[in-house]
Amino acid sequence: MNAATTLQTSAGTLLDLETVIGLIKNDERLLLAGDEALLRQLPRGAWIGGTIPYFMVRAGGIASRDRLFCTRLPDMASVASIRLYDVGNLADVCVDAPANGFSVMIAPAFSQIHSLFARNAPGFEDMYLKPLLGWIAGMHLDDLGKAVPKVANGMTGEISEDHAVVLHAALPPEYFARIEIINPFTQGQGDALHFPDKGFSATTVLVNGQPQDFAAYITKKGIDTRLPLVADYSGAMVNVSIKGVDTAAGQVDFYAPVFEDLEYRFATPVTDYVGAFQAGLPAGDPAIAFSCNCILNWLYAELDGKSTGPMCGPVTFGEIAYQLLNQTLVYMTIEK
Amino acid sequence: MTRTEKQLLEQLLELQEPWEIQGIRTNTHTHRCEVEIGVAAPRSWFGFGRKTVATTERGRWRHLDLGAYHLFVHVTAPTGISLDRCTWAGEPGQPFTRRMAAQLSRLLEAGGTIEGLCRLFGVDAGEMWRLKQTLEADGRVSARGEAKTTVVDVSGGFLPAPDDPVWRQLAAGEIAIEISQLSLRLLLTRIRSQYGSMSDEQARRLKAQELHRFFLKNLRILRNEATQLRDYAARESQA
Repeated sequence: MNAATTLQTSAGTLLDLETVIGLIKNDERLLLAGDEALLRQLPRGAWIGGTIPYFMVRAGGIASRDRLFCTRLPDMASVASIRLYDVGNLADVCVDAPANGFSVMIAPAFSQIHSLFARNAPGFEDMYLKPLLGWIAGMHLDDLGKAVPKVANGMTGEISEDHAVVLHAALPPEYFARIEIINPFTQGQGDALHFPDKGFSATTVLVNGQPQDFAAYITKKGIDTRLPLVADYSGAMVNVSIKGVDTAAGQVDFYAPVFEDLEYRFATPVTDYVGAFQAGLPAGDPAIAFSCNCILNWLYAELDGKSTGPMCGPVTFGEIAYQLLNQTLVYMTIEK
Repeated sequence: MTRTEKQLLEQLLELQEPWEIQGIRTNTHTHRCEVEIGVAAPRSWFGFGRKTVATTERGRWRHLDLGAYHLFVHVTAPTGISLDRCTWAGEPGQPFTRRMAAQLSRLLEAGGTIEGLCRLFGVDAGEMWRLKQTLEADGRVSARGEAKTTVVDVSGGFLPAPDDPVWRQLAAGEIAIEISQLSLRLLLTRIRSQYGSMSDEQARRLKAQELHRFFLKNLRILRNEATQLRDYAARESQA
């Protein structure tokens, strides 16, 4: 089975550099994830990419610096445009999207554009009207503080640590893109928490309406910070993961922003992550057009070597299903 | 952009020293023009090179249209430089430049509706509502009743009519339906949060219509949800 056939039958797979080069030269339209050194060697073509060395494949989780995870666009999709966005025009990303199709975005972790998207995406014009998914590029955890996450525009050859790269794809009218999530976490039975301000950090939390020092609250309650805060979005559970608790400074940092108009609760602990992901698999075993999972799930669930079935893809520093998510599996299917 | 074109655009925007246009991007598909405005770096002694000055993002605002293009200005400037007198900039946290806000305000004061102005200028209802709220606080416009609008239902009757109360009830969180689509769950959460903080009837109606438009665009994947709403609306009308 050659690389192109393999790509047709799965959400994607790990391939060596030469094979990916061959696919690009063969005019394949690709979504790529891998080491920066590999992305820089790719010829120009209809592809976008981001840096990350962690992947889920059929056999299980794997870390690799010498292969690229390659997802091929479905045959019925056409590339409308591939472009880089900066902080000045990111708000137009959904306006720019085709009327019927989907858009795949990759943004570098810890960048201003990552922060801007996280805080403001829910208010972007046409948000939720047009399917937008993607992931946050990162690096090997051994390289934290040394390497800088980057994204790549295959059309122009540009590689950037400050931009988001987006592939806008159009679909024929009889098809539509469906974006869904599998979140192993649900809201626990603990305190209802509100935050006075939107942001990636908080000092004060309203616990059942009463203001408290959030860092002190977490410490006093002995909360396991591997568990995310969970908000209920009309039945969709959306996580905000804890990045750090500084009791001296009285500050808690997050991997996604909390919003002031939502109620959060810490999640119920999950004992079987893999089981939870597999329980959330869509019925009927549809073809998965794209999937990604979270680096925190990799770490906390020890996904290295464990399988999440057909949900193959990069394991990232944040996931995008319309807005930024944490500790969540995102996937897309193309349906008729 | 040539020097002449840059000077012309600066003139059209009424930019004066030390301000200059530092970048411009146009999107011919969406008819949007983004103009980056900043302070020209001061020349160093003897004209050799230019000193680098630390700047911060001051804001992005919608300005008056430029021909067929919606114009947005994006301003970066050193902290401490005031934008108070710059009509091509806006107040922090506000969506419009002072010039744009002034024009919209004049139209609101003259009796223009939020819905009409949104359609005419392609601006967001929430942003118009915020402007109107500011004007009401200043006593420059009074709260008005609902304007008559004509909304066409193109769903072939599958959806409740656009002006059916069920859409407002859904936006207000007064009714609950089973939802299977992630996009609708996220959108509904945002709309309910905005709806709850709005007191203006027109703005609320626009939010309800936003839900109707979403259902209309995504009807093929929202059949189950649409059926629930249609059945609820039918029951209410018989009650």
